Amino acid sequence: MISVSKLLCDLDAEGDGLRYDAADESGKPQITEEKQRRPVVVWNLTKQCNLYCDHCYAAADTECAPGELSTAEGKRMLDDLADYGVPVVLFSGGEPLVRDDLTELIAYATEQGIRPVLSTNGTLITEDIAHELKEAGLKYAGISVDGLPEANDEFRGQEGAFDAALRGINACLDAGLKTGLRYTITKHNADDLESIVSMLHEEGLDRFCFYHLDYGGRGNEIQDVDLTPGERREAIETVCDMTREYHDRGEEIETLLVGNYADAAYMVEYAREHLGEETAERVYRYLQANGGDPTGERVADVDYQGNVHLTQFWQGYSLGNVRDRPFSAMWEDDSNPLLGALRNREAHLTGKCADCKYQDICRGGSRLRALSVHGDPFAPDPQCYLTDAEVREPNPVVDTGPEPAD
Amino acid sequence: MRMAERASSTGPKTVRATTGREWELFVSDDEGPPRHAGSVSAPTADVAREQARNLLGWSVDDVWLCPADEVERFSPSEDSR
Ligand code: SF4
Repeated sequence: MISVSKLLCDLDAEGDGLRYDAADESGKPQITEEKQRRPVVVWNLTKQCNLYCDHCYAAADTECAPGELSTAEGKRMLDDLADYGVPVVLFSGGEPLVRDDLTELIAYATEQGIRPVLSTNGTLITEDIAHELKEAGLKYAGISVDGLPEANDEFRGQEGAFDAALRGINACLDAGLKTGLRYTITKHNADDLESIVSMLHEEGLDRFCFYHLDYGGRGNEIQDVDLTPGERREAIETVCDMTREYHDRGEEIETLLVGNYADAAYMVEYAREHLGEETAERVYRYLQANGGDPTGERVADVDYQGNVHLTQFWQGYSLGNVRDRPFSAMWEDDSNPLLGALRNREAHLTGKCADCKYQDICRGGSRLRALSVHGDPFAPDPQCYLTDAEVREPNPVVDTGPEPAD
Repeated sequence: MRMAERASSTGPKTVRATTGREWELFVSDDEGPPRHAGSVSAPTADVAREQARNLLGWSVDDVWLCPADEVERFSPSEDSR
């Protein structure tokens, strides 16, 4: 997750005095600390959903699928995650609100010292439910809306879904729950991006997460509506420009990008062009500490049946099942060749990503998209929109020595 | 954690995959006997084989694929039969 507002507005305002290696003084996480961090765990509580979205990575269905972890099994897993030091569990689905033990599980996570957050389509959140969630200790609700009413409803397979999500957003805001938008950018809705932010900002929303399409679940079947590199660059530029415009008007919005770490490289390029070399350097250092694509390291997924995945999008491969082995044991087991290689991916990346000058802030982008398109988990990310010239020029921030002679 | 806990789970063992059938993967390299290396979801053995090759083929010598729903799991000490 890359915070555009942080990088382009806060860092730009922070001035020259900031020392990136002095975590104590600056309050910034040190790289080593960051690397040792336990993963954020996405838990797809159920495969069931009240909607049927075109891009659903969990390939959710309107019927309940058999084999869901029971409440007791879920709590046992949360115990393990808490002991292991997992900081955050993202309750997701399907639609997590179709499970009637959701608040119980959120409250349990809170008791265990885990920060519970929620990913939902928002359409089932009433005022009462929003209050229950808040009381259970929920810290954040990310609500998915994928365009203005018409586009959203078509994408989400139900007329009125937009209005229902908006009611959910308002219920959360009224209950005092920190709430944000989740927006997966595709050809259908890239043009609506600014309108949706302005519309929801008026409703009181101030956090906007933009997701790139990952090629897992049904997302893999709609690659044809994914953006071209040119369109992607334009969309991200719009997010950057818009964030700065709000900031300049004194209206702070938080904007985040998820699912494509070529964005990290782009942020440096953008900062250099619009904010100058010094800010670009700060942006680079910050992203370096951030650590690039988190697959198999700082993010993990447990599906509704307890299968553990490398990210929430990568449902086609599982490390094992929490019914057989605790999550913590699987995550610590580097003897799995794929897990081991992902944690040392610099040694395996090929093509454009192998010698990209932005490799340490991007780490090759999505390995799942590489696998889906090239049949090779270490091939270049097909969604990278940086030009060959941009990824090959000498590193603008770190002196990588003289260019090798031809 | 004991495997028998799976038996007390809410769902039938035949449905584990998110999409398609689930195939347990066992791999071996020069370091010793086959070991479990996760599972893939795939509708047929051929597709499972291709996925296993893509995911792990670069690092291992041999791969065994086994349909997860054909695997009996139990903990002998708790097995009443
Ligand atoms: S070439 Fe690869 S490593 Fe470089 S920015 Fe693009 S996806 Fe990231």
